Amino acid sequence: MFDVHEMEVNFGPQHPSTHGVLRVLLKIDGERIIEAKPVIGYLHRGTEKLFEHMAYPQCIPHTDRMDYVASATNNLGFVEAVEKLMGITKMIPRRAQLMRVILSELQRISSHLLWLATHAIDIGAMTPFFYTFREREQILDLFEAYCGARLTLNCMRIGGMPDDMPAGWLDDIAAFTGKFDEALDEYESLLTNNRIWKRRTVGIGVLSPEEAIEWGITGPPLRGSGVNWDLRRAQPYECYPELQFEVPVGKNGDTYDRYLVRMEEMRQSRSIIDQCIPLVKATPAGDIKAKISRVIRPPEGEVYHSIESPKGELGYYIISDGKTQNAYRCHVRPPSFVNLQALPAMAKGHLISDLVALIGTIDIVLGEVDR
Amino acid sequence: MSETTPPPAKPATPAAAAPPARSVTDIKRDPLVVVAVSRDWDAVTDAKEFAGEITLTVQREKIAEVSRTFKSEGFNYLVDLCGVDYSKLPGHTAPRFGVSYMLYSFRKNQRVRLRVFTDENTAVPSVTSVWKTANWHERETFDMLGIQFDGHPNLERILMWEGFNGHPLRKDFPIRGIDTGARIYPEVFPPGGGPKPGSTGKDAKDVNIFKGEWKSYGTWPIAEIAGQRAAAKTQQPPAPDLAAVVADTAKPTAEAPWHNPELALTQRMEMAKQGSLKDKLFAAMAQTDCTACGWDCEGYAEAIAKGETKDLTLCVPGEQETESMLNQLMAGKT
Repeated sequence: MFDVHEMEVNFGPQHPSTHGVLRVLLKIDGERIIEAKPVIGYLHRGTEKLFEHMAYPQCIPHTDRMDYVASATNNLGFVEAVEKLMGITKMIPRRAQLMRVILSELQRISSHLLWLATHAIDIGAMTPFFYTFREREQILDLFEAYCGARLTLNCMRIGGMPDDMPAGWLDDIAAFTGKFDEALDEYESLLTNNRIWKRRTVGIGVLSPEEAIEWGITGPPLRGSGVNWDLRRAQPYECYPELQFEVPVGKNGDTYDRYLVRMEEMRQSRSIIDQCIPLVKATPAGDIKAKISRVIRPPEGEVYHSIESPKGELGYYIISDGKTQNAYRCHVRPPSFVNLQALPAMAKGHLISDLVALIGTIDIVLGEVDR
Repeated sequence: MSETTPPPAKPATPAAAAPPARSVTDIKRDPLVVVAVSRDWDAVTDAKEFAGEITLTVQREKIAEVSRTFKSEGFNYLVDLCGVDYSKLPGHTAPRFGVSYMLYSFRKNQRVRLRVFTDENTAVPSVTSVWKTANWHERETFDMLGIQFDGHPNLERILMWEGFNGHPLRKDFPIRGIDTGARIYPEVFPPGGGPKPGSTGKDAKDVNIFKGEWKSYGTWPIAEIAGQRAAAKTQQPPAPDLAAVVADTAKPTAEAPWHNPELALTQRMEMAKQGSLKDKLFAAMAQTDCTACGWDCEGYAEAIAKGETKDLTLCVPGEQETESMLNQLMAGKT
């Protein structure tokens, strides 16, 4: 079965650079990977089964726990899917839409900051971790000021938002975004032209655009391969059509390009938040909920709705039987699950230490992979 | 920014003002899908439209070819593939399981959904040869629902472990889970797991722990523990399905026509205008019978009216408006 030089090792599930409980079965020849086989399911909690047994509003806290470093976007995808099912997408007040955009863009920055910290620390650069967590902490404080939670936000409701913004919140956000570009320059000064960083990332895990689409890859990995596709632009939701932003695209489809794409995405998110602040100030205070029936009982039908989460396309497929207050079936299309599938193809022929970089560059969250 | 109380909500009609539904043929002739569908017109047996999304039901045997056609017509991105157990859906007559394929075309920037129906024993042709990404999706569908895929290179469990007995997303799989000891060590444990009937607990083979660990633990009162567990199991009633309970109980009656959660507060108060204080309090509740306060809606109203509780803040789904109405009513009384 095995050549004399080949051996099989377990990478994980208890390994710091697997970002959770991912296990990769490796067949190696010395340091070189012949075959990698991800084994998942260690964090499976049956979220889809739970969704079938609770009313729609009760599901929202459970969506927090899938991609637990980007819970605002998880909430957003779910509430929008239910709103689409009920046909009330157009009824959401503008203030609520802008607040949703602000929260999800803050969440995108915080998720990318966590990705940068862990990705860099996996590759051996310790310092960015301390820098990025400084900014991430400020974002978590902003979340805490809005909804009381820092990680599992549960910050959106079907038909709008749970609460209006606290006094001075927008000014705090403006103070944060005002300094954020400077912080990004600081991270880039540590990594972008760093010779070791480039040696570890340039040319590692190259994905061609055709291959990326074939594997169903979305989000920064797809854009890193040169496909200009962002759901905020392609199939816009909420207020995105009226906001100005660029979709950064890579060229070579390697780990370094995906790094550059995410860095630029953070700048774009910062700019989106800055555009939203004056717009949200112009809306009437307290107008945050659509006037809908308190009991959520959507008509019979099925919808698939997806949003651009920090990791890629996050979709919810909901089937309603039209009689009860809970979904007949709610399937989640998690970006991490699909993106992780390409890991064997990307890792083949690389060294074990590159596998660490590849897991980092896909940016998986196991809570979402396993649900 | 003070919270302004919005005016009482008028219950909105949930369904969007939809244009008249198109016929199956019209949907199949939609410019989005017509080219792909006309390659094999009869393979698409049904077509539906909801919320602007087109769902095409495809003959099970032909799904791989139809997928290939759609891919060549620009739908080169398989977004998602998942299974559905329709066995508890009222009025469903087709075979038990459905598999939905969400396709997306970068060129057209449009989505379309294909669907096939199958039962427990009939395999669906795999689309892994069409899109590589279908591999894990089909494995997950097999794992969660037990749907077989013909031609899949590696159809094994993905989220549950190999040897797990059951498919969790089937509608007859209990939400509490099952005893999972059984299949992993079939030589040690009888099917179904748990202690063997009539076991004394003296023999390692009788109980649901791993053989090798038995000696180091010494003599555990296994029979006793097993008995307690079994007793505990029989005592616990199954968890109530909250939404179903609400749907069953929260219905208007002749005495309480306001007991309908879809009415607005003002409408409910109007109905209870002539009633007693208890009736008015009852009408002010959210009418979901959610029991978050410790009673159903009527019970809480009665408790307030009789003075059993002075706390007017317990109605969770009613939020601010119920609370302020209760305050008004109680202030009017004293």
